[in-house]
Amino acid sequence: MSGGGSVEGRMHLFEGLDSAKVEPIFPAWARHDEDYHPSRDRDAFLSRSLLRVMAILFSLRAQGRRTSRVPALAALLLLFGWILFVVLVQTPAFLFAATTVALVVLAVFSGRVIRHILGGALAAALFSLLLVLPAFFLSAGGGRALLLPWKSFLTMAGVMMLAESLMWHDVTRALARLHVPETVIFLLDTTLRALYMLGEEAGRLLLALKLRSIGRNHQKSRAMGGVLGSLYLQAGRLSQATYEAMRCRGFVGTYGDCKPLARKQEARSSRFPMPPPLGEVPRRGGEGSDVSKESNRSSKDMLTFTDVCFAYNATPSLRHATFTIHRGETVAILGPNGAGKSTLLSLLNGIQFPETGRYLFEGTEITAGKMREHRYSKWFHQRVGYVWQDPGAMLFCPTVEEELAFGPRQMGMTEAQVQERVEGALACFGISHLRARAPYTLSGGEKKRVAMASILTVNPAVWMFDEPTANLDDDGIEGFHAFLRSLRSAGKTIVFSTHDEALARAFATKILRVQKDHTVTAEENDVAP
Amino acid sequence: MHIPENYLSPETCAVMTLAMAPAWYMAVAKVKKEIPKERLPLLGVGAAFAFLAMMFNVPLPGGTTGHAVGGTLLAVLFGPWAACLAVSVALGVQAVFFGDGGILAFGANCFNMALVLPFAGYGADQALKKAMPAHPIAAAGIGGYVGINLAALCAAIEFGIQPLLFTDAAGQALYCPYPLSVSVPAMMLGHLTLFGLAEVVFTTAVLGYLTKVAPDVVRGAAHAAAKTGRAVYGLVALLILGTPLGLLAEGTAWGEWGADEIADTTDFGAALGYTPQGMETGFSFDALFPDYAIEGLPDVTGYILSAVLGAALLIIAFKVLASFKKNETNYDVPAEN
Repeated sequence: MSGGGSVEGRMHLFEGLDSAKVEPIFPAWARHDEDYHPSRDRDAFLSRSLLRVMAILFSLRAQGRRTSRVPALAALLLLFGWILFVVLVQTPAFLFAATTVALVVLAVFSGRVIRHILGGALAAALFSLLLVLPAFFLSAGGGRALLLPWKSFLTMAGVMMLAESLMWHDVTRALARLHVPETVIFLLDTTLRALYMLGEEAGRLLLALKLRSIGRNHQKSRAMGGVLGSLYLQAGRLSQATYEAMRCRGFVGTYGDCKPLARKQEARSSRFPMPPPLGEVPRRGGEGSDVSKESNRSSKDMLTFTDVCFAYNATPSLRHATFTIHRGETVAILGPNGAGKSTLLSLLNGIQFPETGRYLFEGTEITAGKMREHRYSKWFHQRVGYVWQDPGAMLFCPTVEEELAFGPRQMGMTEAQVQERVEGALACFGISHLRARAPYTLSGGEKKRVAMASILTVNPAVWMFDEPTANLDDDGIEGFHAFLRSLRSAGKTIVFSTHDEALARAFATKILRVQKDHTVTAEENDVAP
Repeated sequence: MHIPENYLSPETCAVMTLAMAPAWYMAVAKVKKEIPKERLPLLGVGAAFAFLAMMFNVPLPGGTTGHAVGGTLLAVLFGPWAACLAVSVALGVQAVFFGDGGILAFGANCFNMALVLPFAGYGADQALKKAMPAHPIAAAGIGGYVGINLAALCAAIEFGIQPLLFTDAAGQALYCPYPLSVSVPAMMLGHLTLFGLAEVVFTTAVLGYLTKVAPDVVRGAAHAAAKTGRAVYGLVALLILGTPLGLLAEGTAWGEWGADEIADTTDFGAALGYTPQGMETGFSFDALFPDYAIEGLPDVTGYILSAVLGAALLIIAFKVLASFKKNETNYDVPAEN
């Protein structure tokens, strides 16, 4: 088992402890760059409606902290009274008055919230209008049928105004005081929370799908089916996990006496990538010439940040970041929690875009508009591979084998080539025995390997890792080190964020430190080849 | 001063609308650039002020009525382009929901009250501020007087040229039947006296109140404290409650007669005797609450509800507009962590 070079002595990356002495089976085709040009077809793999769904799901997450300025019980009783009034009223005059009152209350909220409320209320009105339309056309006194959509509008507006001004646990507490049975409240509560978490999970899976859309996918329905199926199967697990988390944080089954839980900055402490600004929708338009010609492949500068600033809701999270990452460099991003490492990674991956300053990827500026070009976006996601910190959130295919084949299939390879890649990646990470398993059933370490293998089959030129050694045991960490070495010797550019200073010092040729004041300093680091 | 439907020929309306198009474009661009996101809702409140001011009808002996506009007030607080936008939106709400001012004549109404009035008033105010810097409120008041009279003059001219340009074969006017010799004195008399005074009073009163109670609003600070919010909204509520006073002034304003009234009105001379053809057969639009009355409710209640509705709509509109604007983050403030 000593020395490298002999075929018999080779083992896969994650077996054996002293991996420095063992030469890993890094596949030959990964040693050079892909020469990939996405086809010209505007294959709407991720259709507009899907992107809209993603935007809505992520906007649910982005709802900021809300403080209940209104006493919950009074608000709830007011809502019941309001709904009763709206339902019983028969004359337009009273409805006009009610509409005026509703508009006055609406004027109190902030602009963004007003848009939500109006959107929801109009949707409800439209829905009931559709229901009522036959009556309107077919009956003589059809005009009165239009009262129904109007009433739906007013009712929904009231409900949404309540939802926007109260926190959920205040509502449940108020319901308890109204002597609504605890079981009913429990059902409502857990259903809502489960729906919310499912929405989050769906959003994550859809984002993973988008990042791995690098070409023409002939089996779109399977991929979507995979997302939905994974979601369905995870629903039970998610509900259980939610309930356990609630118990761990003090929920004992009663609603009356619960103290308000401390509202931490959940958005900051969660570790998965930030959502893309997907309010916009891909534009129809000519794609132009060969995408790779737009990039300057021979240049040494691969990724350049020039005075990039970014903020979440007017709070700066990255300030005046300026650095250059050259081809073949290994870069570590270090910094305390909340400093902006995840933000930096999402900016590098074209998920978010700088508010000021420029991000140049191989000579092309990455902006929201650029990433809306189908061809460029597909080419970009083939060129840059992103391994998330929570690998489970990015695996959506029915089996491991399909997960690995997902990327190459889109690149237009023959089935034989796809198989070669799949076998190579399975062997590289020692997961051949897992090929027929469903990814969500695997352990954390296995999921991580599957995630990395699924990126390997695409063979990107730039690898990005978000906290790659978090939650790994010693074997896993050793294996990751070996993988990093292989990637480096194959000339790939590597960027990873970590808390582990030793890992950074051992591997990175450049260290980007994100400071507490959200600025970034770059330092060179000598490392043994 | 609202020009109703069919008082101006479609050609005149088209010309006025074309004249306003670049002004609206500039106004939107300027507001986007210069008004910070936090101040836009306040502009909505300003539009509500203008809307409510136009509901207080002041009677002139002789039977006609008029009202203040408040455009100069907005120009002094937010700048002339923002005032143009705010007054245009207020006029739009009035035209569409309450039938106050014609739809086709919207361009002309905006030209008079949203372009000429704020700019003239602002210009006068700035000049006067240089001349007497110790009395900014008086300067604004006089600016208001100048503005509203210039606007009335423009409206009078627009009215007066109709019978010159648009007559049918029998020599009867197709649209507004009163020539310049009648329209100019008729409109100017009221506006040089009572209605101009109303504008001065409105402008100085509101500006004085805001300077005392909410100086941040006047100075243009982006951050309005909670106290100023209450002061401003309190004023809106007060104005709303006072709107029924406008109902006391009976009689239609000069130039705002309906098609049924015009044949018999005897303001300034003999009755006309005929209804101009353009008014009988021209474009007509049924607003939701014509003349600010709601069917099934007494006049006063209807008036107050209309005032509330209009103010709420304007405030909501500007808040929604503000929400589309991006947050402006200051990246160079030293770190607080």
